Amino acid sequence: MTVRASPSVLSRVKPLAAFLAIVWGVAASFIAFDLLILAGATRLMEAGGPFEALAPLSALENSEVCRVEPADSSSAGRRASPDIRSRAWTLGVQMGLHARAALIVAENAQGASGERASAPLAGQRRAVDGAAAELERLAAALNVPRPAAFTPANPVTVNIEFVPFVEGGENHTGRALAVAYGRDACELYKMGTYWGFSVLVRTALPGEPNILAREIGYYARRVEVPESMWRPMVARTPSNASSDALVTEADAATARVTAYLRNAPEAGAAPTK
Amino acid sequence: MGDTLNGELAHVFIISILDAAILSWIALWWYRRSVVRFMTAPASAVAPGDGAEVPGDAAEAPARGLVDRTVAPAGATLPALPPAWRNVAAAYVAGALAYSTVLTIATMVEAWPAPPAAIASVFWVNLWPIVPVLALLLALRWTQTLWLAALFVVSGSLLVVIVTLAGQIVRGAFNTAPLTNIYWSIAQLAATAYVPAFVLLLISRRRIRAMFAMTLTATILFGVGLMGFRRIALEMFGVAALKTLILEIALETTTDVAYYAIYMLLALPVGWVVWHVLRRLAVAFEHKAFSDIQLVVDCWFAIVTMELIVTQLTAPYGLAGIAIGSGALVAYRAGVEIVLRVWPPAVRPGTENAPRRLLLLRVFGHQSRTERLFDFIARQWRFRGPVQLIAGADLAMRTVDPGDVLAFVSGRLRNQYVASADEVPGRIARLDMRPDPDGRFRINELYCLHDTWKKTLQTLLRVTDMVVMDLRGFTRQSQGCLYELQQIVASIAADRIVLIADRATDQALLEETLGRAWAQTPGASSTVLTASIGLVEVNRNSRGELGAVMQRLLRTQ
Repeated sequence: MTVRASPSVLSRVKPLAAFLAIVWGVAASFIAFDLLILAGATRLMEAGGPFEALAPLSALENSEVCRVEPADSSSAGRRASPDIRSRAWTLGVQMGLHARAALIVAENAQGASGERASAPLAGQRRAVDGAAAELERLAAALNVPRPAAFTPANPVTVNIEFVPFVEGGENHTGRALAVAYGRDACELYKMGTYWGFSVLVRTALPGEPNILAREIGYYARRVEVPESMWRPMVARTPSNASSDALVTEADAATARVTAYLRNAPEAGAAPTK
Repeated sequence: MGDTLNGELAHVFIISILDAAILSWIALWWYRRSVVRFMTAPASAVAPGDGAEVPGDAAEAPARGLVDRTVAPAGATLPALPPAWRNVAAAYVAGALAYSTVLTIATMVEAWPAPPAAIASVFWVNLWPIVPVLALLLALRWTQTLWLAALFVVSGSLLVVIVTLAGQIVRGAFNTAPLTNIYWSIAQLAATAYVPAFVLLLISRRRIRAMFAMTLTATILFGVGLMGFRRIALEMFGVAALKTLILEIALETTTDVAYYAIYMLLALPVGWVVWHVLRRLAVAFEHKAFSDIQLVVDCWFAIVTMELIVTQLTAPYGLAGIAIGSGALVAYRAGVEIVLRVWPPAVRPGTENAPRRLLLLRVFGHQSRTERLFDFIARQWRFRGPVQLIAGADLAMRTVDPGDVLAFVSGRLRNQYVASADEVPGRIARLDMRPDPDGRFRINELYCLHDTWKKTLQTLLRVTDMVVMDLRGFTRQSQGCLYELQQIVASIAADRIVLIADRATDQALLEETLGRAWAQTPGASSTVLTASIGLVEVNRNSRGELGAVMQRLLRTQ
């Protein structure tokens, strides 16, 4: 009778260890390239980067929301008054802020439990309700419909989903502004929307560029906001900046643009594409 | 998803190609290191060079005229094309036509109605991979490849002119469109081909070419896995417990660590799939479903298709674009397979087309020049018969094939070595002497240890028709070569031996060794020779000199 020696633990573990080492080695090399290319592309194509112009903006360029033909409105090709322009911008900022804040509150409400969590949540809800009332007031003053609520399909992709929401057919507010006051007012509203939606993220994540930098830059150029005014809104913030400092800086940037629009001299025809 | 699909695919494909190139380098370097380690492992019994009789002062005088010395002519003329070129070219042209047909239909459905000239132009443009593919398959020189490219452009232009003119004749209206259409077709060709052609140029370096197909297969699967993982990660955020877990890991570490740690876990099943795919590839290669060059060509077609999927197919078709690209690849492979089965490259045993087995021997330790010699000879000889050699570190990066890759990755490289003299007959019997579907024969390399190479050589010579031996730098210290010379002279007819020498070769020692070996050969006369051993001087490793070696081999086969 022969006795077959059973394989040692080491001989069993060795192939498994080799498999893990090879698979994780290849996966790690893949991750290294993933990080490298993403970081490189972000740096190169962010606002102010050497390949900024290459960043894909097809959703913005193909958007029909602000397009006004002479047959649609008498405002086609005309620039709105400084007052209307500043109000369209402010409406956009409030819309973006409200959309982001509502998402944060909904997110917090999902994870909150017990009395300890409900107190700050109630405060946040009140702030959102207040912003909604302000939104209502601004829209009424401009005689346009109140902005629709932004409801993303997935909480992880809100920043991606926000762009087609603003540029798509659901943006009745933008469309009404375009018809009533011209393309310029509509695009100022969109610029404000992107700024408002990004500002809470910007103040919470120091050291990062604006998450909607390309969109803000695109419309800022179209509505002829001076570059010195919008560049700081999209540039990478100092990584050691405090949240309070970033909030102060964001408020100041909003106020600068508002003041510029309000005080700018009336111009002739709006820029055409 | 449709908005980001082509961006995601482009990202994944770029990473897959870059990663595969780098992994190929690393794997080849590691593979070569392992080969060196095994070959220099302590011998169990016999020391290197034992048994070789070094000629002394009292050596027998060499036989007159035993060596026929050749100096490289100014322009050695070699056959322009391999013997089976018509079959191979027909198969791959058929494959490319099938490939282009699928892509042209897909493009035209989207752009319908389109004029016939546009259809002809798109059809021709999608055929462009045939140029680099035929250059590789038929081992064309640079000048021949340029001629082929010119022929492709001229024939495409003619096609466009004829189709445009036919349309004008039907309509009865003539203008300059036949000429302007040529311009636009060539512009379209340049726009379509320049990126993938550049990629193919980068990865066609011989050093990584053999390994690249396998690593690209792996990295593409990892890339597709990463795309799938992104979808899964999004879904995970919909599950409260998983979301909390991910966010807590991110808080403890960083968002990147939390994200990629999950990917590392999900990479394990992907790795398992990759392993099985590679194993199937290696088994198919072992069963001669394709040659190593055919695998490289398939890999090239896959790269061209990936680029097309990203730039032309996903925008109009979304996920169906991937299916269309895959369909084009399947059509290409089916076209090749059908023609090669119906009209296989002819090999007729017993005729002058019968395969001739070439044994390549050399002085070890000169990687660069040996690689060049091997490339030059193997590239042309493989259409005529198998190239056999005792594996060494100097050619490890050239001879590696899918089976070797898998043995290496699974830690079984040691099993490839002839560990004892008893194993030799079995190993020799298993050598691959049949051609692959493209008419190429295999490289039969035998991995030997210090104490098995002599027995292996003796047995290998019994299944060898011709020998080429690189004796550049041959001196009295080249003990292994002395032994090899004795053996080949004793086993192979003199006119079927071609030696290569340079200024550093100890010519006196060489002639002395050959003379002694000849004299010891049973039945050999030391004065009467019916044929001579060929000796070619190769000092610069130039094309002309290597051409002279090849010419001598072909003359004596």
